[in-house]
Amino acid sequence: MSTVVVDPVTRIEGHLRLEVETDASGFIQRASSVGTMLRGIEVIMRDRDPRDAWAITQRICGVCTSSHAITSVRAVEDALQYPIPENARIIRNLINGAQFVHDHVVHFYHLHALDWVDIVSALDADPAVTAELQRCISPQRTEDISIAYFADVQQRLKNFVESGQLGIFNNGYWGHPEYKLPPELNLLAFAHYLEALAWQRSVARLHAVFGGKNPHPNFAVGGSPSAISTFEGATRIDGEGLGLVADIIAEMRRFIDQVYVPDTLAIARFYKDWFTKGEGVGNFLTFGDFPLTSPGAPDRLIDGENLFIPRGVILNRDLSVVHPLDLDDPEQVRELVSHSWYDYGAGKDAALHPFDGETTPNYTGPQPPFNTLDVDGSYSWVKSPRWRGKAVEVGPLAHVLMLYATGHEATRDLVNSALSELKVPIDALYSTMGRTAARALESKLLADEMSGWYDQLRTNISNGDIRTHNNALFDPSTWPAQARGIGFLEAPRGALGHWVVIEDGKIANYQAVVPTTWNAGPRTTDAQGNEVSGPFEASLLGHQLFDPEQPIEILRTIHSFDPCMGCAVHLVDPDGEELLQVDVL
Amino acid sequence: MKGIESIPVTVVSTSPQRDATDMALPLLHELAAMLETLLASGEENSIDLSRAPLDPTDRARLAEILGQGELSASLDCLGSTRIQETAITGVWWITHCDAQDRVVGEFIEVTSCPEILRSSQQEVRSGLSRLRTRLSEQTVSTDPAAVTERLRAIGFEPAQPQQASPPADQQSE
Amino acid sequence: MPSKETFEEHLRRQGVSRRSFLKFCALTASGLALPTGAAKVIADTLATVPRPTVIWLSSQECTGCSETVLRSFEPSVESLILSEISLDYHNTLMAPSGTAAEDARRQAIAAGGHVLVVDGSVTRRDDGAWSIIGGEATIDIVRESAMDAALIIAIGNCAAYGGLPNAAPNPSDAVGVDELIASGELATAAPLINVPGCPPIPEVITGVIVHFLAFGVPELDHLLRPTVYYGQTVHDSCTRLPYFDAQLFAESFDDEGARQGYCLLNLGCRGPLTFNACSTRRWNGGTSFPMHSGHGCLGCSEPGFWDRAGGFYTPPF
Repeated sequence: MSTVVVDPVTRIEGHLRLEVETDASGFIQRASSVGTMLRGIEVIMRDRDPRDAWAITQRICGVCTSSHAITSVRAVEDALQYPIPENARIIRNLINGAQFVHDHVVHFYHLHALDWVDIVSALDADPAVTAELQRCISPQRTEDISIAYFADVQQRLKNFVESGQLGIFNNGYWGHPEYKLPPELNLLAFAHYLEALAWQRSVARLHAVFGGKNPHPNFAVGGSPSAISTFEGATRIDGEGLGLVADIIAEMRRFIDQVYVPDTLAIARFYKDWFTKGEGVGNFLTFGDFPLTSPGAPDRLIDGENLFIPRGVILNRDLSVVHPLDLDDPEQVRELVSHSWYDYGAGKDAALHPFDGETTPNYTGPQPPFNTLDVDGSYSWVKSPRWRGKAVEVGPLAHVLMLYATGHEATRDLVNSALSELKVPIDALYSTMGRTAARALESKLLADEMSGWYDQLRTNISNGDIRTHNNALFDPSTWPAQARGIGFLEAPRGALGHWVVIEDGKIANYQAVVPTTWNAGPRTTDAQGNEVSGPFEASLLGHQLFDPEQPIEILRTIHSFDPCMGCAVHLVDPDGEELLQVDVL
Repeated sequence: MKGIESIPVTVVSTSPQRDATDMALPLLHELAAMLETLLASGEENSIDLSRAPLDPTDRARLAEILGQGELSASLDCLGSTRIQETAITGVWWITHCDAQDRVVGEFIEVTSCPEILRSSQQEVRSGLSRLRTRLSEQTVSTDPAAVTERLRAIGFEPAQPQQASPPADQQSE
Repeated sequence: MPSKETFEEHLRRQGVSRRSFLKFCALTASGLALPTGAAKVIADTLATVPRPTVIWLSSQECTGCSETVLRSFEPSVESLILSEISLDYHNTLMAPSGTAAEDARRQAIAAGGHVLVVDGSVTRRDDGAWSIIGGEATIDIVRESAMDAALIIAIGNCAAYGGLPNAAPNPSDAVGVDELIASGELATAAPLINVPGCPPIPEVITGVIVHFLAFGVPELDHLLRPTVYYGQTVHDSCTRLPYFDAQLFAESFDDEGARQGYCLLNLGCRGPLTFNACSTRRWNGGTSFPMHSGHGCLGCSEPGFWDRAGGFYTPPF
């Protein structure tokens, strides 16, 4: 056995370390996923105004920059039984939809692509063949498809390489035998790497229209803080601003349909072996999101009805049964710290529901600098959430499977046609490449939905309903002395929940269970004494490393989850002296 | 291309009695001095309008007195740029826009020809090499049979129907 | 390794035209409020200086400051990473991981003269064990990377002033770079420029780099912020300023005043006390800024803004 350490894992959000043990042939026998950075945001939340919580939790992550903010205002609204106007519901859906589409494209081209695309090989491509390849995989595309275009991109790349200052591409694993794409597809992908940089900058403007800026747009408890102008130019949400939103949605759909989805399928053709590797745990969970109607009563949102992405749990790949999920049930969602640098009052093996959550850090790792961690003890700042004791995967694959299992027609058609184009069975989804493909397909599903949501907003406005915010409960003097609520959302990386306890107008406790915690948490032990690995750790088992110095195989699978470590590790308590103990009401 | 009138100036109130205020006249005098310098020594100069606190009336007045010359040009680099010669030869009004066509900079330049219009030697040279590359592509790579053969070799079928020639792209400069 | 190309040579080879370059210089000079003729100095200087090597260290951060650079319109991020700078280390974007990544940083440090960008606060708890990269405490990596840097830029409120991790009760004992230097915990001869904001406006970040290359360190205020970007409050150029002057205020987010663009002071807007360029430069290629879209300013370019009395919805005065 030898230990391979990958740290830092780059092209992710935040700080992740992986330690894997390989046998003599380079096969991974055991993997440990380590979150290595801690800020302590939840403890900072205590005693603050719950209306400020969105801004603070938003800073958990600047990538999924709207996810925590929306979840937070929902948690406070749930606690206060605070209804929001129909337009605010739609605006939040548009903001979260844009977040998905934006994130997924940036993830594919800028974080994940270099695991599959050998940029240096693109120098050997014939631009004429590349242009023909482009027409072949995306016949509807009309811009940037000429030979001259690809020749120019190739020339830029050549000049860049010859400059000797390779910047972010320096020390890449170029020429590694695991790179399988023909030079023409490498060139095509590199051209789209650059195009996607320009595209993402442009479509992020949707957040700026409603939230004033991106990253970190603004939100408000009680609706949306973006009043609709009564005359052109009064606020950003006027005819011109809404027209811009429509243009951006069209720009999103065009890029998804003509570039992102075709590129993903073309690249996947060369890596079909990755449709059988990297599955993980085979269990999938969603909290659900994109409410399609305003709930009749404010407390109904939490019931999870009428959501575009449904709520539920799929176990052991069995798509015929979607298990119901209750966020309030103390037996269901629970977090463990058996191998995390935290203590629980009831012992290291206790499992606590977020309303009963404790966060007492206890760093027992080696003092830096160090080479390896003791992975039989505590080894990560990430906790391990479980659903009824089971490790589950969250994220785009869970979303797509949930839509598929519940019979969503557009999803079934899209998934089936992609599978048949690639000539792979549905089981191929349970894999590294399946996860990557699911991300592309859900981008299309959401971008298409966004057009309809936008039309609804315009219709409401035309019909004279321009309400965006409900001021009735904004003043804390209207609140009960004690309240607690749950906010949930599907983030681009999966199920996100915030649990808030409010006392005398202040935050008494705040706990977040976030997507990458589900996926990246360290192993736990179940009631029978068996080791239960989380999705990251389970998915790496059996991977063979061609060259431990260039662990591209590990990066492929871990990147397929789109880790967001800032989200996964965000809790702490000062000096571990005080428990974040919730008084259950 | 229109001229100065196309520059997005919002004239809020133009009371006809009002004279050019504090800013327009001094600017015009400054331009006259700059023209003298240009004639005497060839030294070029410019005024950054974003730093001259002109109100809409001043701007309208300035534009009116300078008038519109024979030459106007529009460039497509980092968004569009409009260059308008004024009726005062040697005085140019330059408006830089970003990719969203929002005005991000405005200058009045005093020069016989704004430098941004000239082609540099180096660029002419690289233009030549680009042309040579394309000429060689015309003779080698675009042989349709060879392209199709290569495409099939990497596992793709050409799109149907095949286009005789690809649509011309906007060339990035 | 071939000798370093100059900034302009590289742009040229990247297909960025001389005209685009001249426009970039003109707009940068204008944006930096430099005197007439400065554009030519910038153009001439950038034609002779090598592309700067930039090491971007992410400490206790949320990646918002990296994301903001991705949103830069002029210059665009694609020209930035291919042309304007040599971004030799940036965890979110760089191709290699693990030792190959750390090797890239060490190579760049060994050459010296680099620009060190830090985003995120620096934790001192448990000897820095609360933020570790490649088995090393981030605080030690910052020390190592700052030693021979030509310039340090602290990007975002966290790196500049400690930001959110530093908010009460500062559980991780986090501080900004300035405090590390002031307390003697970080030794460096390089000048420090703070570019605060949560996150900062991307064009402000790139403008500071260009100014440094052409003219050296720009004029800074007492908080080490470039006065050209942080010399005015966001209130001074706010679209809602005329309503403030007329004492017309929105009292809720969706009342008639809010819809007509009235001043947001009574909803907690911190604009009059916040020095930043949001209302002049605006965000996302000029699309908007917070008050224009209806929410007050949080004050994110000021030290300690997370701990302001009364929270974000209490009027500042």
